[in-house]
Amino acid sequence: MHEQFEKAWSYLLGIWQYRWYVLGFAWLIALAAWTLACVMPDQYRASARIQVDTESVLQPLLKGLAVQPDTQRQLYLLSRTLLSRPNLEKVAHATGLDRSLQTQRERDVLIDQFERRVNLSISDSANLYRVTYENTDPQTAQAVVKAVVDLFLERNAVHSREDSESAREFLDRKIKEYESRLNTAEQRLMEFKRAHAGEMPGASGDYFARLQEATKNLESARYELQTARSRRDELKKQLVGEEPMFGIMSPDTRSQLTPELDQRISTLQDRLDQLRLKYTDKHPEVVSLRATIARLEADRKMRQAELASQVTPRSSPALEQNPVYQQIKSLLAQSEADVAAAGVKVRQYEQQVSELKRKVDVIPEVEAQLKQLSRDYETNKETYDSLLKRRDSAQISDEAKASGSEVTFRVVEPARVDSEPVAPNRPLLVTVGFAAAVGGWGGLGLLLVLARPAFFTRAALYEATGVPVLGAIGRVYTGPQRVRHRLEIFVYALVCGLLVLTYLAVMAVSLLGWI
Amino acid sequence: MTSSIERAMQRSRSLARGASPATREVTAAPELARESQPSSGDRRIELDFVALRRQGYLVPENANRELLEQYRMVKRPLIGHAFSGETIGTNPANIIQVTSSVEGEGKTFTSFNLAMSIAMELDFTVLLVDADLTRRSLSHLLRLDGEPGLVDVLTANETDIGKVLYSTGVPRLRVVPAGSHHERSTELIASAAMRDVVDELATRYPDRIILLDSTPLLMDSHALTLAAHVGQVLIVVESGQTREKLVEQSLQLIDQSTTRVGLLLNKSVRGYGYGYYGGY
Repeated sequence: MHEQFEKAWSYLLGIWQYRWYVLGFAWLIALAAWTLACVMPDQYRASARIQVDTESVLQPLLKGLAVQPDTQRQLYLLSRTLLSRPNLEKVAHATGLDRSLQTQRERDVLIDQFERRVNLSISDSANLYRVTYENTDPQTAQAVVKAVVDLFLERNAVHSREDSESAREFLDRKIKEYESRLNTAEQRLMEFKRAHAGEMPGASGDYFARLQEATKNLESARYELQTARSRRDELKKQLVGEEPMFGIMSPDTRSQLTPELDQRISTLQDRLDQLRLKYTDKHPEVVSLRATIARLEADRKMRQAELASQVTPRSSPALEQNPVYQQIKSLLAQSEADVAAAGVKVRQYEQQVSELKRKVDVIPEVEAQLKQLSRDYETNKETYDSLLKRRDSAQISDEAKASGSEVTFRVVEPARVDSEPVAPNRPLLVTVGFAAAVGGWGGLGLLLVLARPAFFTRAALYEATGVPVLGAIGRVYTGPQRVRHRLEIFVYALVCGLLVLTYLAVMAVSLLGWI
Repeated sequence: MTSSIERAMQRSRSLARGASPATREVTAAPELARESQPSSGDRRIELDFVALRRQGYLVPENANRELLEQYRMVKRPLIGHAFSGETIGTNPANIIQVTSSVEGEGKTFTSFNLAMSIAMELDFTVLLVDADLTRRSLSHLLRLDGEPGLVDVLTANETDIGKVLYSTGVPRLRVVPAGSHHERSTELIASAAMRDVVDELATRYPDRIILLDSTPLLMDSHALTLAAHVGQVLIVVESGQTREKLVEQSLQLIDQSTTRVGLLLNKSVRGYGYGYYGGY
């Protein structure tokens, strides 16, 4: 810390050697700054506010239906393009500022000045645009701001209309393009289908699925055939086993060979018995019944004889009458039919499988081609559909725009000029001038000190030379020297004080606005 | 830097003509010393302490105590080196040349005050020699202009150096003025005769401190020639004025292996790094 203070002290001592130069320099700076502050013309600021309303009533309703324009981006673009050179030329023309200008150069200067001074600021929260312009003449400032606001409103109208029109044109063109593409794809798909009618995959799926299914069917048909066959064989065996049983049939059972006759006879016998309870044997009805029974019995006898002669030579005729035998026989017949049917089925499936196997090279290729064609078609169709949808929504958007619902520009605050000039800030300039003067004092002094470095302290001397410093002798003043020295300090303080006083005076004048 | 040397030389030329505002305070001293009656072999002057004191010089009566204290600091190492026997060369250590880089830094002021300080406070006899034959500031100060002095010894007008010693009102202070005016007086300092004088002084008065008020180092080569023969050189540096470069140049010129060199910061201003080193 001590070193730093020592350093600062030695710089101060150094500056003191050039005290009059640096003080003169400080005065020069101060006077120049203050003169500038007084001479600078007043600047008036004109401003206008434009509200940009993007929150419309229709917007929530149209959500998802219409294309949502990026309003923030739109505003940004607008503000960027608004202050382009041609537009500023328009402003110059509208305000009549270019009327007195003869050369292109003068005009350029004016436009350049516009470019620098016309300021367009956006406060995002409220969507408020603020247009400001500063000029020494309040009327001119106001006129320029007004022209810019007009430009703003006009520009917006043109911009959005052009925008939507070009969008619709684009959509139309695209739709037409996709329509033709879609047609082509459709045509191609149809022709392909026609050419490969037999090899088209059915509802059951592609080639391999079909082959698999056919194989499976074949398997099950074969199984069915086998089952039917074994069943038939079993039935046949049973049928053969049934025959020996007829040989040991008793003769008594012969009567059973004519069951219907036996039954009729017994029925008639019962009736006869009932009649004889009421009537005598002479009753005609009894007589006729007896006759019938006799005939039937004769019949039965004859029949029995007939049957017996039939059965005995070839197994036995009674076998025919066996119901189990009959049943087995009919089942056998049915299973024979099943076997035949299963055989047919197996043959059919075999044929199908072999057919499919034969076409192994052709069908997958066809299927792949078909798939591709279908995909093309689908893609085209999807795009086409979405384009159509989009055109519709664009149309709705346009209509929404046309009804003025999307972005509305409203002049919240028309061009207005502050009655008080906004610039120059004279008190600030005066203070800055004073500060610059003080800085100049120190700066120039330090520059001179650093340009001609000398020693002020023993320590510095020793540090720089490395030679022992035996001592430091203070400056000794003789009487008149001391007087002169003190007088100089006094005058110096006076001149410095005068600078401060002048600063205060100029400050007071500028604050009270007397300039 | 060159320009500063040139300027210094110009100033020295104007000084030679006898008028410079920078040294007026020193040279324009009226009636500083009254010449006493020159007796044979012992010339006497009386110093006007009042006038000297008014000009800021150190005087025995009513001395400026602050200044006294500052010189006390300076003289202590000088005397210590002069009689400690720890010489760094063959040159006599009791011969101290007071010089500076450029003129106007306060050589005469320093040498006179230093001599006075030593004579006043210590039991050493001091011999103060005006070896600046160009400006002869010390001779002016002591009102010994044109009186026989160093030049006369060098030019063999006066064979014995003892003949040009002037005793003062201060008991142990003797002075040797520049002497008669001579056309080539500056070159005399660099002559072999000067060397002989130095050697003679050293051998004849080995118990005395001999202070030589010399010309600036960077002005001409004579001061440097002289520095080669003396034991100690005290370089006066003017605070805030002498450029760092010039001090460094001066130091480079002196062969520090044979001559002990010390610096003295003159005309320094009170403040940081001042009271620290030189307070009571």
